[in-house]
Amino acid sequence: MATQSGPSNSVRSLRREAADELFKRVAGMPRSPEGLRNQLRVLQAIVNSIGEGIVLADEHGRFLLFNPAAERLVGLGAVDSDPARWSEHYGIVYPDEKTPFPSEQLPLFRAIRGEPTDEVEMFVRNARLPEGVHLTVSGRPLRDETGAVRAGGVILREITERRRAEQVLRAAHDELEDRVRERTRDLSRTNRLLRREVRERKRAEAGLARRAEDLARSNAELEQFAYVASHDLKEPLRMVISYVQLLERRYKGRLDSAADDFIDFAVDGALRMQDLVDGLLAYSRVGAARRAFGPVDCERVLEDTLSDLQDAIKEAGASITHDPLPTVPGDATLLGDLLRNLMVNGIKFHGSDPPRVHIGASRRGRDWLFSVTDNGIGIERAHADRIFAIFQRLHSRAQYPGTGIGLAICKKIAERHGGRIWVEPQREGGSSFRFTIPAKEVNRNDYVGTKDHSTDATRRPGPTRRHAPREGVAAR
Amino acid sequence: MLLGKALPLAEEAPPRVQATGYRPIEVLLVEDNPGDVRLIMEALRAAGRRLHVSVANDGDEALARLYRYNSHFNAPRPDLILLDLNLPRRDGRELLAELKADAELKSIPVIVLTSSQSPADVRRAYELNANCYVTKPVGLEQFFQVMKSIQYFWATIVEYPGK
Repeated sequence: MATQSGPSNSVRSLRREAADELFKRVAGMPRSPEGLRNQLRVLQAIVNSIGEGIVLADEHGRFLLFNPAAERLVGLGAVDSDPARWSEHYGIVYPDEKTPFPSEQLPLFRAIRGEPTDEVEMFVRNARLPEGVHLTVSGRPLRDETGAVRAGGVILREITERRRAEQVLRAAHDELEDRVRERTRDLSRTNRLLRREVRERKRAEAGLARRAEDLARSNAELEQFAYVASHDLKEPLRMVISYVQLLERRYKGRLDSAADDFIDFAVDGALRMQDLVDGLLAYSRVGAARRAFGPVDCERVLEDTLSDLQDAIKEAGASITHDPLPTVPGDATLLGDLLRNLMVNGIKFHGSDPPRVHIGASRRGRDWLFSVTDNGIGIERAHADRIFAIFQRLHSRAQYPGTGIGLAICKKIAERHGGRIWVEPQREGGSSFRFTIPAKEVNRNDYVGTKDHSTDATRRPGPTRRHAPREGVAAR
Repeated sequence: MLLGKALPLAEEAPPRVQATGYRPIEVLLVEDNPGDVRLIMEALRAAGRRLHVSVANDGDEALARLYRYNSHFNAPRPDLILLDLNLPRRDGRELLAELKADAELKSIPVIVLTSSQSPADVRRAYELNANCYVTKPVGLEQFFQVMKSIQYFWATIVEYPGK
């Protein structure tokens, strides 16, 4: 068996030279008996005291020398036995500690057959050495003057420590490998699970996207319906209004007073219906507006809105104040409608004091938070959600005119921009309408993206405004 | 005009620009809605009638009348056409295109008078060489005002070919 991991080559060759020298000395006998005895005594002393085991046997396998170190290492001394049974007798196996070592492969056996061996590793365990030892053994044939092999010798060294260290190392290595394998198995299992989860999530997302698409489509259809319906309603409505007014113009005061009342009711109803249809059209237009978003300077939008409202402000004796307003991604016309509706509300629903309206803006994380705060009659908390539904009104038209579409439009505009809107009743009276607009444009699939952002942004709220509710359509 | 006296608009009749050679302007009104026809008539009467109006209820009828004039039958050639866009069968746009493609008829001014505010309709009408585009306003007061302006402008200010 070849050495697996031994000393370096140079050390090994030195050792081999030393062994050769020893055997030469022993073999080369001095001529005088006295010298011979002296030499033998010296050699005996050396052989008995060195730490390495030395064993010599003649060509028949009879032991000539079995030094104390050798006896200690193999546990048993020289016993005459058949060389073919040495392994069995001394309990010699391969370094794996179990495979029987064939006797004819033992270095001593091969030495007396004339074959040198170097550092053959083996394991010895027997009754005297229940723990067993690992040995490395080198063997040399000993020849006479004619070159015939007369004996063989071996040197034994214990390498149990090294073997044990190696075993521990190997065990550690194996364990590490086991653990790596196990971990790899775990990882690939986790991986499989993750892949499955990803697949399922993708499926779920696709389903969601489909549902969102369906919803967007049915919303668009609904808006289209509202638009067409209100558009087509206008035509017969124009007839009703015109003829009722013609009736009024031509026959008011010519019939009895009941007839005049009837005509008044009919005119009033027809005009109100016109407001509703206009409001519905404006509401459906918020959804129909597919202009690309661009940066909107809210200061400028507010300026325009203030000049639009200047008559109403003057008439109500209102004072309007505002914070510096940011530039946000959006649709300038829609944001103008949003601000105008809220401001109209603030002016319209005032108490005994002249209306004061403040427009505020501050950054809240990813959003801009706008507020339109008034000192008006306020809103009961119970109604705070209802007021944003279409056609919801909290007051009779005699108290405060309006159709109940203004805030529904506001809600739709805020949501169109990826924001939301709500109202906070003020403790000191009045109410504060709040809405958020994302500071960065959120991903909206339902918008047509164009590269024309800049021109859109600089476009002033244009003629489309004439369709939007000017006043009197906001409600609480 | 017993009723006319009660109408405030009638009292604001536009001044005559020229006192000589007066004859009513011949108008062909192409309008399918009898309510609108009557309303237009009322408005013109309130403004002091200076236009002589005959009515065609759709594009086909309008063309029949106009071609009859072309063939020198005794229908009067209109000086002016008031045209609604949304008509049954041949609609106002088709009629407009046909008129403006006819060598004899294309010189007759056409006023598009419709309830449509659609920018696409406005653009298309002018592309087809309409002479002006007017939206019917909602509300009697506003409608009467518009018709009064039309009457004033086209009956007292405008010159017509071959008149």
